[in-house]
This record gives sequence, C-alpha cells and structure tokens, in this order.
Amino acid sequence: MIQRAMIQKVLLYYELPVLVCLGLLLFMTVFIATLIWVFRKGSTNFYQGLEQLPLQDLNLLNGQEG
Amino acid sequence: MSLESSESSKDQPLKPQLENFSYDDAIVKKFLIMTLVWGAVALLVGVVIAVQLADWRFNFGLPWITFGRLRPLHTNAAIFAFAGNAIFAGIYYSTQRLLKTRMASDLLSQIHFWGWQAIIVAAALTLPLGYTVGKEYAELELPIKLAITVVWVVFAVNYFKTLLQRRERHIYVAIWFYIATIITVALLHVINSINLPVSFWKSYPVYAGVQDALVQWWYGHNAVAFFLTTPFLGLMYYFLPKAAGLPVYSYRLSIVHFWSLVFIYIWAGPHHLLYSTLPEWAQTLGMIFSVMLWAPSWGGMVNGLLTLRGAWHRVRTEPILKFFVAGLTFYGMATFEGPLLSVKSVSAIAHYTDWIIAHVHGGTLGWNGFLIFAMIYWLVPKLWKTELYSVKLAHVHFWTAFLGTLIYTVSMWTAGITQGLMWRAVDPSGHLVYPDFIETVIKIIPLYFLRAIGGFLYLGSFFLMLYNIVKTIAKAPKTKAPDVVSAYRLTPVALSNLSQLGDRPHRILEGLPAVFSVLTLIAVIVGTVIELIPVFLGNQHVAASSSLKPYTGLELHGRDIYVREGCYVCHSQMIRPILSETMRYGEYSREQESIYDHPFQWGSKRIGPDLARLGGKYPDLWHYRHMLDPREVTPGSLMPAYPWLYRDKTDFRAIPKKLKVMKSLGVPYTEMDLAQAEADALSHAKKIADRLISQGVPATVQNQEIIALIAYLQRLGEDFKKGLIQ
Ligand code: HEC
Repeated sequence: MIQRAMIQKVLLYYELPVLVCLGLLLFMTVFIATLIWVFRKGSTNFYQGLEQLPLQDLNLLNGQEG
Repeated sequence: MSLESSESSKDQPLKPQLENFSYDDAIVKKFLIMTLVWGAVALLVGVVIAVQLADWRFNFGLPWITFGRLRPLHTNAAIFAFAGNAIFAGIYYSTQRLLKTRMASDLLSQIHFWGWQAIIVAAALTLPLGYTVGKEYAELELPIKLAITVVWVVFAVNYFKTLLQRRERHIYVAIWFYIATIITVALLHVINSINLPVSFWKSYPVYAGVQDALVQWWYGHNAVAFFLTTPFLGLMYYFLPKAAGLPVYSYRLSIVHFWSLVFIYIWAGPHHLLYSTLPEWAQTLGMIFSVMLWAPSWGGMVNGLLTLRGAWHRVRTEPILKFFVAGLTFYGMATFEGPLLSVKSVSAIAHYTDWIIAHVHGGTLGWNGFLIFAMIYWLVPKLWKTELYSVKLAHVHFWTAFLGTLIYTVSMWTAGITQGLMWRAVDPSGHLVYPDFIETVIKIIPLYFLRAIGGFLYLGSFFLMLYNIVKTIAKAPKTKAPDVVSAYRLTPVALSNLSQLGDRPHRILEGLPAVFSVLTLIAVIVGTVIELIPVFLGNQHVAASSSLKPYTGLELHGRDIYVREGCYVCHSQMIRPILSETMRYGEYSREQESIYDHPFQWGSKRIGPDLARLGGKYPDLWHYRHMLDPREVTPGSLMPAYPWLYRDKTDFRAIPKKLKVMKSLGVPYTEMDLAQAEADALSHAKKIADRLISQGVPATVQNQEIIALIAYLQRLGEDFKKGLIQ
C-alpha cells in the first residue's frame, strides 16, 4: 500500500526530468541523423532530380497537354 | 512491390516496357465538388453559431439547432467534410501524377468516396439529434466511428497498393506527408474511439478522467497535426511548385521539416491540459515540445515562401499565388502563436478564452482555407480543360476572404484577452474586480457581433468562388474520353542488386515505402508511449485507492443529458490552481474527482462559468428556472434556453443498463446498485420533484428530464465539499 501511494505521488506530482530529457534526447538524435542523412556525400544531384518530380508531366498520347 | 528480393530477377537483364494508362480524374472531380458543397455547409453553420453567441434568440428554442449541438457539427464539418474532401481530391490528383500510375483500384476509390460522404451525412444527422460521445472532434457515436475506420482502411489499402505498382521509383516528399497522415490518423482514431456501447447510439469511452483527457487531447491536437497540417503540407509541396512552375526551394529542408514535424507533433497534446490535474511532468513535456514545434513549422513556411523566389511579381496578378502566399503567412502566424500559447504563463490567461478561437481560425480560415482555394483554382481549369471563368472574381474572393479572416481573428484576440484579464483582475483589497461572470460576457458581446461579420464576409467570398467555379465548369468542353499517357514500367530489382538503381544503396530509403512507413510509425509511437503509459499507470493507482461513491443512476442519466446537449462546449469542469480562479470557483480540481467520468467533461472553453464546484451553490429551483430561461435569473445571459427538458420524459428503464456498462468499465457499482437502479432513480427523482413542487412547480415535473439534469448539476464538486477528497 505504501509503495502504491509512492508510485502514485511520483507519477502525479514530480517533474520526472528523466522523461523530459529522454524525449529531448530522442528528438536530437532524430534531428541530427536527418541532417547528416540529407547532407551525405553526392546527394545534391539526387535531390535536384527529386525536386523536379512534380514539374514533370507525362505527355498525353491523345493530343492536349496535361 | 517493385523491390522484391526474388532470386530470379537478379540474373535477368532489365527490360523497360512502355505502358499506356489513364489517370482516374473522375474521383478527383467528385471529391472536389464535395469540397465545395461541404465547405459551404461548414461555413454556414459556423456563421449561424457565431450569430447565436451574439444573440441567444437565434437558438430558436429548438433542440437540434441549439448552440451546444451545432458547434460540434460545425467543427466536424469544417475538419472532416470540407478539409477532408479537399485533402482527398488533392491526394488522388497528385499521387497519381507523382507515381505515374492510376490508383490501384477504382472500386476502392469509389468506396472511399461514397463511404466518406455517407459518414458526413450520418454526422450531419446525428449530431443535431444529440447523439454524441462528448469529446471534441471525436463526437461521432460508435457506429459512425466504426464506419470511419473501415473507410479509412479502404483508403489506406488502395493507397499502399498504388505505391507498390508505381512507375516512378523515387517518392517525392509530398507522398511522405500523405503516408504519415494515413498511418497516424488511423492510430489516433482507433485509440481514441475505444468505447463500450450502451445502446446503438450511446457509448461510453473506456478511459476516464485524466486518462480520457490525455488520450482525447493527444488525439485532438494530432487531428490538427495530421489532418490539418501534414496532408496540407504535402499538398503545398506539390501544388505550389506546380502553380509557380518552380521546384521547391530546398528539398533537403523539406526532409528535415518532415521528420522534425512528425516526431515533435505527437508530444504536444498536453498543452491543452496545462494547470489541469494531468501530472506535472506530462504538462512540461507537452509545453517543451510545443515550443519546439515552432522551428519545423517555420522551416516549412520558409520553404514554401522561398519557392516563389523570382516569381514574386506574379503574386500581384495571379490569385492562385496570392492564396498560397497568404495561406503560408497565416500558417506561419498560427504556428508562432501555438507555441506561445503553450507556455504556461500565457496559457494561464489565454486558455478557456476566445484567444484560442482566434488561433484556431487563423489556422483553419487562413491556412487550410486559402490553401484549398489555391488548389481549387488551379485544379478546376486543369480537370475540366478550360480557363477560369473570371480571374477578377478570384481576386475579389481573395480580398474578401482575407478581410473576413482578419476581422475574425482580431475580434477574437480582443475578446479573449479582454475576458482573460477580467477574469484575473483582483483589486488591492484582494477581491475579484468582476465577481459576476456575466459582466465579463456582456463586455465582449459587441466583439461577437464583429466576429459574425468576419464570418459573413468569409462565407460570402466562398460563394463568389462557388459561382466562379460553376461558371467555369459550365463553359468547359463536354469531351468524355479520358487522357491517355504512357510511362515505363518499373522492373523489379532484387535487394541484392541495389546497384541497378544507379545510386548507392543507402539512397534506397526514398524508394522503400514500407521502411518509410515503419519509421514514421515508430516516430509517432515513441512520443505516444512515453507520454501515455505513465499517466495510465499513475491513474490506476488513484482509482484503486479511491473510496469515492460513483454517480447515482439519476445523476448518471443527467450527465448523459449534459453530454447530449453539448454543455461542455460552453462550460469547463476544471478549476486551475490559479488564485483568481480559486477565488471565483472554489478549490482547484483534484485528480480523484473525475475518476468515474467516462467521458471526462473538463471542457476547453468558458463561454459560461466553470461548473466543477456547482453542487449546492444554488437551490434546485434556481436551476429549474435557469434552464428554462437563463435570462430570468441572470439578465444578459447568452446561454440558450432548454424548454424541451421540460417536455421530454426521463427514460428510467434505460438507467440499469448504463450502470452495468459503467461497472464493466471499472466503476464500483455493487450488484445491489444494479438490481435497484430503476427504483433508486425513481425515488431520487421523486425527492427532487417533491421539493420543487412544494415551491410551486407543476406536479408533472417528476418524470421530466430536467430533474435528472438537476441531480447531476447538484452532485458536481460534492465529494470535495464532503471532505472525501483531500
Ligand atoms: C452558449 C453557451 C452555453 C451553453 C451551450 C450552455 N451554457 Fe450554461 N451558461 C452560459 C453562460 C454565458 C452562463 C452565465 C450566465 C448565466 O448564469 O446564465 C451560464 C451559466 C450556467 C450556470 C450557472 C453557473 C453559475 O455558477 O452561476 C449553469 C448551472 C449552467 N450554465 C448550466 C448549463 C447546462 C447544464 C448546459 C447544457 C444543458 C449549459 N449550461 C449550456 C453559457 C452556456
């Protein structure tokens, strides 16, 4: 019973900085990993190709342009 | 899937094969037309409820158009019908082009379309009838919730099948945003919809109190994130470059934008629960992540605006670009304001006020609306192979809508800050300067009128667009033959043979929707688990150690009436530990007080005062008269009257089943409680009725619904007053 009350107190009222730090740490990891990923060597040409995808329209076989 | 690891394909030479096909544009047209239809409905209902707040008489004393029932209809229509249909139109159009393929199954597309419209019609019928779960943007009752799940799965299956049969190996960033939307909305909807039915049209959530609040706002905030943000960013990344004829400013930034946004958003929900009984650490997490959201949001905005580099002069002459630029600017404004509002000290003033309403409408009218308009003006001439009927009218639409949005947000900012400050004002002798809540309402009524004018302008401008589009479609050529295009089929590539892609293996990520979907799912689940699980554990302990008595049958029935009438859209039941608030309402709320509340009714807006400590504040007769005509007891009140509660009879026979369902949800009713539920409720009602009758109320009162509602209202905060809670 005492133990249960203690858990309740901890979960309710304490700041639990561990969880806050864990969240931030996870985010920083994702963020930095993404940065490293997007600036990896030789990616510039690749992204220049991707960037053009919405601008490429397939030619219509039956006349008008799409 | 194009990247199967089949042994045989390893040795075979690649044989590119040219294939002819056509896009399914009929489905795009359908969704687009329904966007226009439901947009008109959503905005119209919005204007109606704005007018109802300015003048209560517009409730007309009719149950099904009273404010508490119409407001959920407005929000659901705006989000799921107007924005929803627009999202689907844009997704079906852009996905087929970006993947160089037709949607995998026309049948599934049709089921998606008709299913979604049927759901909207069901919502438009049931919400005014008072069938509601009582949780914001998740009001729809269980059968409709199930239908949503089915239709969403149909959409997802069709979408992923389309991805697998694509003719473009690389997946453009817009598609990432769509995938994140599909996956996360499914997760949010399912977890927040776990309810137990009492009858066909009535169910209770399995969560209670603080758990329910956390799940609800985890859902609610991420409905904003994954229904009103990620799909719209996807649309922006496709349609803005299209309209500008320029590639996105920075593709790299779009990737960083995507992952940061998806990862951070899911944590932000608790900013709706600051100063509530949600554990401190969860509030802190929500606040920190909300503040961090500012960065990726602005990254996206900047990326959009800079896409127009070198094309700025065209913004003056092209209404489509105007809508994009203004939309992105409103997005920037709303995503700056959001983090600001998540700071606890700002929330202390702004929460429960119209500032939040201003914030939401800056986002929906300004960002979602304008992006939808830009997309419609761009798509309609393309789809119907014609020119826009009137560019000039589109400019007029822009300026009228812009003015409407401005009037709306400015009036609500002013109303919110004014009322927020009045609630807090304490004079040097330590008393509230405005102890009568109604004073703070009367003060802002002129701003409610102004807001209604802003809404009218926006609605009017919408009709200008409607006219313009109808005229455009009317003059379109009547050709029926679909356009045929051709593209090379993708040859399956063995995983062991990745070099065939012409890139180094690590670039394969962009080509692997499965891996990508899993990563997205992980990103959203991490935040969910870290936030939700500890609160669930903590709450379990509170519930287990509680000796509180649950609601009586009559009180529970009254609570259902409270939920049905949407009282929660105007009243909170959560007193924050802030001095001016405890002076006005009494002791701040405690976690235990809502452990039996399926659903929680903490509310999010105080158009009327908090009700958490209402019990015993007034005699029954006061409530009896107040609900019949609020202005009789509180002159100047804008609360609707509820005459039908004095006509409709309480269904006492329904009560035992309610207790039974509650018991199976963990509420500690005894077998005896269940067995005597109906008789107990009848005698409880008689006690209240006798008191009222002795004070001159007609003798027919005993079976009227008002008695059950009074029983509930008088119970609010009673446990605390009896000293059952410390
Ligand atoms: C349009 C918003 C609105 C809706 C909907 C609404 N109220 Fe009110 N309510 C108010 C306002 C404003 C006041 C303050 C003026 C007054 O006393 O009438 C108020 C006051 C009250 C009070 C008095 C509180 C006090 O401490 O003085 C009670 C009780 C109440 N409402 C109950 C309800 C119930 C029950 C419902 C649903 C059936 C409901 N209200 C629906 C706006 C609303």
